[in-house]
Amino acid sequence: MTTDAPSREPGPRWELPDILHVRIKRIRYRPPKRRYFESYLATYSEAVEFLVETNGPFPMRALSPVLYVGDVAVTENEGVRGNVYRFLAFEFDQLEKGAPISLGWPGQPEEQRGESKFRYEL
Amino acid sequence: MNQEEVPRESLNLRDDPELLSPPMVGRLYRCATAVTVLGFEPHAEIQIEVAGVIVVTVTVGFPQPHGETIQLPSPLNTGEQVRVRQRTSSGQSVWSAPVTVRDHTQDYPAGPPRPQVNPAPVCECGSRTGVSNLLIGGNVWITADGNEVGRVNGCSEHQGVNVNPDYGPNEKVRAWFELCHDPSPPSVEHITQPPPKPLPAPGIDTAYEEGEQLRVTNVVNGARVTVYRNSVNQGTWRCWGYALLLGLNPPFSAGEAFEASQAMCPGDPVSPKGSTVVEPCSNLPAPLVGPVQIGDDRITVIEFVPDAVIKVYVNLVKVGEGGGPVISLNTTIKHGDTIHVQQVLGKCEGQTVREVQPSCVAPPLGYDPSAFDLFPVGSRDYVDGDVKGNVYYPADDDGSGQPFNRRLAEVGRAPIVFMAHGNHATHHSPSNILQEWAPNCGRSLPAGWVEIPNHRGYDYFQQELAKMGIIAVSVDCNATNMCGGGPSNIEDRADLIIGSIDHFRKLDADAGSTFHNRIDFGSVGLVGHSRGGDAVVLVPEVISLPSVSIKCVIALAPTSFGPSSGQPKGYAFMTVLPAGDGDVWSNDGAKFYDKAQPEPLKSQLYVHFANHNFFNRKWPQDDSSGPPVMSRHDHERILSVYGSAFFRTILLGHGDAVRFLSGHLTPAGVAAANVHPSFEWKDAFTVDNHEDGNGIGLNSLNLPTTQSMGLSADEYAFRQGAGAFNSSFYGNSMGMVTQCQRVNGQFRSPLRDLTDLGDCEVWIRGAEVFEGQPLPAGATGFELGLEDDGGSVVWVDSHGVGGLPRPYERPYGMKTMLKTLRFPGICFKDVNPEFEVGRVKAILLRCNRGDNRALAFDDLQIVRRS
Repeated sequence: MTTDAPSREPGPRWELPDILHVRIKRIRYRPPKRRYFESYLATYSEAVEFLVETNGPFPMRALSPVLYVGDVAVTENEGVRGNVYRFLAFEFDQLEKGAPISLGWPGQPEEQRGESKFRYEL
Repeated sequence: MNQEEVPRESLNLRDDPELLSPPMVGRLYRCATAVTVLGFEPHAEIQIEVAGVIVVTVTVGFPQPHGETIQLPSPLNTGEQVRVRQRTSSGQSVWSAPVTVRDHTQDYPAGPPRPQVNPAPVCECGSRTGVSNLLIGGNVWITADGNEVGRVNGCSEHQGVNVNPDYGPNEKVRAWFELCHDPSPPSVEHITQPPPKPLPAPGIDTAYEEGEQLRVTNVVNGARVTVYRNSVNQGTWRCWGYALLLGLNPPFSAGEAFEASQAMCPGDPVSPKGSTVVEPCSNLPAPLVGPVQIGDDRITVIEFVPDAVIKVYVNLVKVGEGGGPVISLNTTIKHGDTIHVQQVLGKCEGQTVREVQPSCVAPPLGYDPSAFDLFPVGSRDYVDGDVKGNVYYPADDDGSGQPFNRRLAEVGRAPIVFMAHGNHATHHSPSNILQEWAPNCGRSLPAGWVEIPNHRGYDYFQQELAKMGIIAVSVDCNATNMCGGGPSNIEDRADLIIGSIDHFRKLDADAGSTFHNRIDFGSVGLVGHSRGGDAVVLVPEVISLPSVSIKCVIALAPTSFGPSSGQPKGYAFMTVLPAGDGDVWSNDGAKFYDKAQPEPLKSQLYVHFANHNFFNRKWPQDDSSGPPVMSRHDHERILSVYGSAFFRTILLGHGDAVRFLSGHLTPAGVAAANVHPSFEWKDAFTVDNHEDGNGIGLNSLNLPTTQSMGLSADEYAFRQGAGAFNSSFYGNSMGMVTQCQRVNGQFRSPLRDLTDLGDCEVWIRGAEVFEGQPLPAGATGFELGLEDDGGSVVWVDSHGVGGLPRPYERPYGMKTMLKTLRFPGICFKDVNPEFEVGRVKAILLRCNRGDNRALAFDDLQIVRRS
């Protein structure tokens, strides 16, 4: 009988898709209604919406991609359809005109994020 | 603790043949008609004293495997004190410490614990069944299809019961127990299984010259085992399975041949024979010894020949002798003692003995806190709109929809725990469970894909909690999965968790419900995994349901999106951080731990060789980063064992269980060596936690610290970002990093008053700082010193209290993760008896390794010994 050498299954790679298109606009915001408590977003009535279309789905994992606008991480996001995702920035005064827009993971240093051809313009 | 096997001849061990250790008895209850005695020598004469009167004198057999269960002339009564002693041809022991008889309802208010068929399963044609989880001296019996087929009155804790007739095919077998006419619930029902065909050959453990017990292994449950000695049939024994330890006479001679076979059903072939040849005395090894720490008054051997006499010597003088595995000593172990442990078989003394140097701290091996099996487990699913999930609960019998356990209900309401899973795909391919997808948020679902019930991934933990009397709910959060990220997704989950709590409030109020008036909402626990771990930190901050009080929370590999404050308070908090987490690689739960208020405690378990997914049975993929991780089973054991210890402490008031979290006991049945705990009590006295903003020059008592002899120290943020010593710190705290230019550089932190640390421990969190790849070879460490009123300083090395943790090797995200080290005051007194441990004026740290490695410290505290 021969003895097999172990062949370890590779773990997930968590690669983010590329951004194909970004549409940015200021929107009126209606906070989510919770049944049992008030959302932390309850005080917001406006937001900047980034509709981000990518060339593939986000990886399925605990951490969620964030949209970096310069050094500002926009964390609130939801799937809209297919590979289109909506990111919402509430403290939009922090966003700098012309700042590069890229997808990344929370805490990911700028140099590890992909190069961006999109800039923040409202 | 160091131990090695050394030649006996090189030592001048001074035996005292008359010195015998007293045997032991366990917990005793009223109405017991028998007592199990442990730790005696083979063939000793045992005397049992009850209420000052010797009631039994009997010569017994062997101490292994389960001691000797000796029948009493009359049942025990509450308050009576029981002692035992042993006598051999060489001497007589002193009496054991008295054990006071209790009423079993003091420890088991809802009746005796549930018997377990052990080992399971039961086999057709089986002739004997083992039953465990029994109270000593009670009555156990077995039924097959409702008919009693075997009984033992006055049982041991793990009792073999012969069954007559042998089991038939497809019979329903249960074990039953009662003490004082108080019945336990019956065991799980087992259906007899066909025995393996052909039957395997038994194995036989190595036997040694002068031995009298033969251990036959690989036995089918309920088999009859026939043993041959030099081809002569010695008889046939029934065995409950797995292994059989039988005594034979006369003692073995070297070169003798033993064989064993096993049989089950008449007409079926007997198994092939297993065999062994008796080894000469010269091959008898030294026993292996369990942890030994300063202050111990007993030694535990963990590998030894079952019928051997164990002799224990301290500094070459005999201090104990008994039958193992636990030998009482006539002294306590002190710093600098050298311990030798020897096993003797009749006239055979091994050529080697085990030499042990005790540690200041070496936690003894305790029990398995998850194995508290009292009740059958009922289950059901629930749906209330989009609020749904499943629940396991203590029931009258096992199965879906069973009534709530009536005995427990008579005692009072039961605590309840809610669990929440994390973000994971909600469906998988019908042909490949690794191919996953979520159709939420406008995505389509391929035809035929199967839903992943993510909430069912913790059923093993739910069932264990239910067995001990805790209702365990798991909330289905699939509706929130894969549909976005950020704080509002955590809110979505928190809303569902609170919705489930509210649902169970309604069930508790509903006269037609299984849970009507059964739930104690003043004792609520939460468990959350991944994003669920984030949500359970948020829930206590936003919940406003009347009369709901959250007492404890476990955040398992949590994210930290918020939107909670990130500062758990008002409840006991635990987080489990898998060191090889390839998803939440930053171990965000450390932030929660660092900011948590210990009310009354907080606990962090940094678990080496663990990943993110294997705690949930529905998450198949190994996400790990770094070395290969433990098996899925080992992951589950981590959550079950430490989680049970946590909930038993807080929700059931089992104060002893907290010792598994504080590091005073090592739990059984879990890969505890991979767990690096941090722990803090509310009432600990903080000397320095570096959170005061008063700089390194002052401690938290606002007293001036000093650095000398080449040590430099400063305070840094122990987190990512500005102010950190380097990028390897991932929590959310302030701490101290020391660096030494010379050996024996010192850091001194004074106390305001002269402090008595004789009955206290000094706790400090510490770690070797990660300073880049490759890691330097070998562990480093430090010494902690106490300075007394007269200026004397005594040092204890970190190696002697468990050692300083090293960075866990992984391809990215290498971390400096601190753990709590305990330095008992008794160790300092032991090192130098002249030292005034009752008048300590400062605590010192000294880097004595000479390797110039940076060390991280935090939370220097004084804790009264529990």
